[in-house]
Amino acid sequence: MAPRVPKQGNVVVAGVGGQGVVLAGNIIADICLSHGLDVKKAEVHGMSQRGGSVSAQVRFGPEVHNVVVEQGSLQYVLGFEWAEALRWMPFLAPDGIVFASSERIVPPAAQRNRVGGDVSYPLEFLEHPGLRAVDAESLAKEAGNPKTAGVVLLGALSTELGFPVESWRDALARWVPKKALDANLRAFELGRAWKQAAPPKDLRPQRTLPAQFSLKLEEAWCKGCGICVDVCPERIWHLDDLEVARAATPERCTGCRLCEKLCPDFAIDVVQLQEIDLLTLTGGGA
Amino acid sequence: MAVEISTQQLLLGNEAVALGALHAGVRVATGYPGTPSTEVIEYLSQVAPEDVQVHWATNEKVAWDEGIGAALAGARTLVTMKHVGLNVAMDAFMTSPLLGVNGGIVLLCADDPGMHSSQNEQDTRYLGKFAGVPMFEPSDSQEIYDFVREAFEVSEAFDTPCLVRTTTRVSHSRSRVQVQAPVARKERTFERNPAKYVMLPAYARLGRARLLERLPALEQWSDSHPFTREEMRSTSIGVVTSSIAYQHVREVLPDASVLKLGITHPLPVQRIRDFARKVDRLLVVEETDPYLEEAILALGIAVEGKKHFPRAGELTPESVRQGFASAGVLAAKEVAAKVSLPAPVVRPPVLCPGCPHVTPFLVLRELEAYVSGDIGCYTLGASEPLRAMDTCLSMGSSIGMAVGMWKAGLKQHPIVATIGDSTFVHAGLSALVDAVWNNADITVVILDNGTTAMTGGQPTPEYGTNVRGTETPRIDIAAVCKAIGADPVVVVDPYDVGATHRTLLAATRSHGVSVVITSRPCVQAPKKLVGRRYSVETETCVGCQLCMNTGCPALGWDLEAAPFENRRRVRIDPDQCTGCTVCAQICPESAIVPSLQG
Repeated sequence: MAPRVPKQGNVVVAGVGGQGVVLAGNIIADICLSHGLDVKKAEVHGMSQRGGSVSAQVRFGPEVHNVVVEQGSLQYVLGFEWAEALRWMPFLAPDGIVFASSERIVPPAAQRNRVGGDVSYPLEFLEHPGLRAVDAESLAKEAGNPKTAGVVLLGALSTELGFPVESWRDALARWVPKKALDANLRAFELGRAWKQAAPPKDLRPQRTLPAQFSLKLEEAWCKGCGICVDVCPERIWHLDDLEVARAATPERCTGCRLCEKLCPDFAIDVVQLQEIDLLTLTGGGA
Repeated sequence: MAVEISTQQLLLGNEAVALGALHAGVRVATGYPGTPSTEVIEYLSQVAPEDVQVHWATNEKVAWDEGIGAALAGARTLVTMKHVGLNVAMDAFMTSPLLGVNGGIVLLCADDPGMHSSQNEQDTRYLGKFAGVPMFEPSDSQEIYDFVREAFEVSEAFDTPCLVRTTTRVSHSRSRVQVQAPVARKERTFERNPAKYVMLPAYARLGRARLLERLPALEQWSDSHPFTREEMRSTSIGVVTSSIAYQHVREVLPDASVLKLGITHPLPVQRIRDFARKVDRLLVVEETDPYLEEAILALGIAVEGKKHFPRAGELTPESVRQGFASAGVLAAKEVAAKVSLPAPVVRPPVLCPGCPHVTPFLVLRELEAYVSGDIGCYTLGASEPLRAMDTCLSMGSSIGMAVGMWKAGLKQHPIVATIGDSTFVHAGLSALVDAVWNNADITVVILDNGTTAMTGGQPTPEYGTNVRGTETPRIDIAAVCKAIGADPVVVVDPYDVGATHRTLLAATRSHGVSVVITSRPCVQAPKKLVGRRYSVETETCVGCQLCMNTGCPALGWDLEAAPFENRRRVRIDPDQCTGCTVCAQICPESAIVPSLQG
């Protein structure tokens, strides 16, 4: 039995700048409007669009006042990225449903495991009964256009948010560029037939490195060329008032030995303080 | 691009501003881009016929001056800016109510509570009162449309500029708008009247008198206007509110009586007194500062507001609920009992792949320069991994602050101001003159990407067109700096890391005011730029991740390759790489090479 046309509700579309979050929100709002409902939609503009978190909130009903969703009342989350979907879990109503792409886009700032960057993709949410992982990335490729991942998720949402299928298709035709419409309609159908996918694994490093290296400088040999200052990825080296290299934060050394290798005067020695057990190294973390 | 306008549609608040102005017969529209106000001019440039003048100005003061000029010459005029932009225009804005208008003029000023994209959270309502102009506060797109139209009528009827104050949530939300038939334009022209339009002290005194005579008339108008709406429900609680706060109140406390204010200067004093008498207890719910609360207290009416509701940041349904709970009118919902779930990884905004602003900051950090920054995308140069900016205050402040640091005797490291090309034209020019004039010993780095990138790529005076695509002359920033007397003035390609390094090193070692212009178009606007893509030779990569110091989002861990000595190797996302080659240039192992495909 097809779900009934809803009289009121709310949806949050969440993702990363450039994923088409605002467009997906417009499509949902458009469908609500075409069914004679009052609609309000909150968008994110400006600074957050520079690769940051982006969300669109759609609230609909006979009369809608506020544009933003209150915690504990959110009915549907459409997550174009795994962590962005999880971010809205605290807003979820007890019977709320999350359709989350199993795709992960790890923020650049978090990918600095040589200093123990924070890459927390919490696993604790996996127990939540409302969480649905959709492999939108693969389905979009199957539809013939990787950029249709968002429409795959709209297809999945259409199985729960009970507007007639024709309304969804009509709205897609209004909002999607003509030449991409076929791929988008295929993506929508693939999304309607979505199956539970494997959720992504946690990316937290299995162990962090203790300070394992010590930096030694033969001061008399240093002529202050500054090459070590330029090449150190951890920005450990600085030139002091006498133009002699100084290791300001030696504890950050990860042992890449670039300074040692590139010092034209052989003034730097990177000394390993303890053996790395090569057998216990993480296997790539994926 | 022609945009179809049906009678009822979901409009962004900013689109409703544009449409309201258009249907009120606007003939001139200008402003300076600033979140959350930018879309007004952009949308108007798409929907307005060719005979409506729509353009960006170089800054907010110039925009307001142009607006007043246009209004005196008889055109209905719209000027847009964000809250901090009004500070720039304030000198002209304060005096303009003394002149009055001819064609109506409306200022759309968009505040940013919560500082989504701003450096402060000031409440523009105080400035509307300060200037003594009628001020409208819409709470959704329909009201924006209606209020803007009405503001033009009021402006002409009372011979004064009008202010429409929105906030991020109102400007950047879509809601239904029913549009009305456009009004017929009135043809007016400039009429010479120095006693009204020349602000010599003797004439300004007359203007001041006109302003003070106008205020009581406006108070009467405000009291009788339908934009003030009394919604009587339960009389145990009465809430005075405006703007988005009204929507929160209706949602959280649907049974309360509400006095919904659409005009917040002059306040409808009589209506407030009447409402206060009808309810047992009076509360004010308003975003940011206690503007209404102070005014109502000054009337001698007992009222509570900021005692219960937060003054900092945006109101949320939760904070409004908590406020009512604190006031004892709502049972406290167990907000604290919220599921404590771990927060996912944070995702701060970053510079785009291939952003030409990266190299200058990499170099400045290596030079350990004191970097006085400015407002734009490049303010992100302050955050990890670039972390090369020490200060940032307001539009154009970088150069003046660098001069100040030098005057205070800061010597240990070179003093550098970094400023974008749009910001430089906005408020940096006179500061550069000041630096040269005062024999300062600083380096000014003009990060020239030819556009106003942060707000979405609006044209700048270098761009060659304005918002509607009509051709304009291009100003030559290097020639301007030379003419001002900076020496040396060097243009460098920021995609050439070595040249940028050498140039900045030489400039910071030279005496006097040196200018380095790092010149490369923005990778996003006017069009997306992609060159030959690069990839990492896995077997050569030693996982030092030096390339990741650029902060380029295209660089990430290679999760498929085995780590090198416990460090993850790097992979370049081919979909994001623009081929700027900066990472390839700094890779000590030369492991980053052009891709074989593409």
